Amino acid sequence: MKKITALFFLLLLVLFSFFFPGKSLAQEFDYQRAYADYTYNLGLYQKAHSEYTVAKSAYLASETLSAREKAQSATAGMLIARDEVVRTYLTALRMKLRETKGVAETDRETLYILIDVEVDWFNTHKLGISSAASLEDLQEDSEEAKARYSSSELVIYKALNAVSVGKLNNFQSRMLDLVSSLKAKIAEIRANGDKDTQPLERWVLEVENRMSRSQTKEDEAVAIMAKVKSSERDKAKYFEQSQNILVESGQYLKEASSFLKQIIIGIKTEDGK
Amino acid sequence: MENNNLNSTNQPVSPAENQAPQVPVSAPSAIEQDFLQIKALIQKVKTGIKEKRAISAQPGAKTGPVNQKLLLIIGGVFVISLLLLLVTAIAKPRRSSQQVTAPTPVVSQIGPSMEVTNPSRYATDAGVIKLEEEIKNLDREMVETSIKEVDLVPPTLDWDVNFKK
Repeated sequence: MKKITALFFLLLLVLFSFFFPGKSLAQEFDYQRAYADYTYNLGLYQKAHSEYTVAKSAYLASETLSAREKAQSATAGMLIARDEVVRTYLTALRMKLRETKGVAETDRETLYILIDVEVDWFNTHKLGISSAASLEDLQEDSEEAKARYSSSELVIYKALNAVSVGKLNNFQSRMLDLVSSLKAKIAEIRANGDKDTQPLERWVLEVENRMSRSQTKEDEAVAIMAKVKSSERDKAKYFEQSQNILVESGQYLKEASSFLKQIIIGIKTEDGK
Repeated sequence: MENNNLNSTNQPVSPAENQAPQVPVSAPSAIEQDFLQIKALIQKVKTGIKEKRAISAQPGAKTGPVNQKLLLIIGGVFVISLLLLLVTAIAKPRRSSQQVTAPTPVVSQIGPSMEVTNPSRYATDAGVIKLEEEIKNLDREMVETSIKEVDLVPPTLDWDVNFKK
């Protein structure tokens, strides 16, 4: 009886794998997977950090040898988890860059190199952390990572900005194609002579005007990030400034898109109504 | 006195012995009848379960027909699923694993303000309709996309590790 049941399920499994071949058990490593890795490691870090805080307080209160050993172990655990968070975060960012349409190939390649250097550094640093090291050594390890993260931060902000710019570029390029097709259609209607195309042509100019404003804003945002150096203390401030300008750029594109829809309605509606 | 009390409260008394004043017994109400019927039904079920348990607990009780029934059910399910899968496979040609998924077609939705009340001859033009669909797709995507990458905000980490009091 057991044999029959086992055979039955085995046959069903074979049949399903035959009919649904796309569903592979081994998942492809993509942004979703990289992001899940990052959030998992962030959770581990938060746990390790609270253990470190407790061990540190216990050591500072008692200053016994046993408390110091516990503090060493907890600190090493936290430092390792922190390096792992940075590494997985950078990997997720790299995957986001890879999957975002519109990112210029040269920008993508440059950022890949910069991200890979940072990933390698944090990986090597993580391997060098030992729970047997003294508290002073661990403190030094932490300082090294802190100093390094300052340059990683610049790479992070540049990559995030590149992703936003990529999204806008993708929309702009598609919109440009649509405007070009629309212009050709309006020219065809004008040649037919059965519809007044003057208002339609004026609206197309409005669309182009919004697109041009969008591009100006995008250039402004890119220029802000290009000026930020690794030594800059408040990189986040410039990044925020750049991001807000990119949002404004997107707003102009939305206006242009709304105008495009109105032009279509204009084409589809009889004159004088 | 004490004896009388005991009799009236704790001990069962036959109708003949019952010295209490005769109260006319009314017929049970409809709800009471329902309760009695449910009670009888539960009692029947209980008795049935007990009987079946007693039979299966006897040494040498036959379980063969049950196994056969189970076997028939499993076999039936298998044959039906096999037939269903075969029918699906015949009805739909098997897709290549390298096939690129086409974008989901979008149903045209024109809001009341964008409605064409007096259509021109271009209202049904294939080129115009195609352009309209593409514009709507782009517009929808722009509305749904956040320019800022909100999911990937840099992590907040504690960089100040020290053991000073």
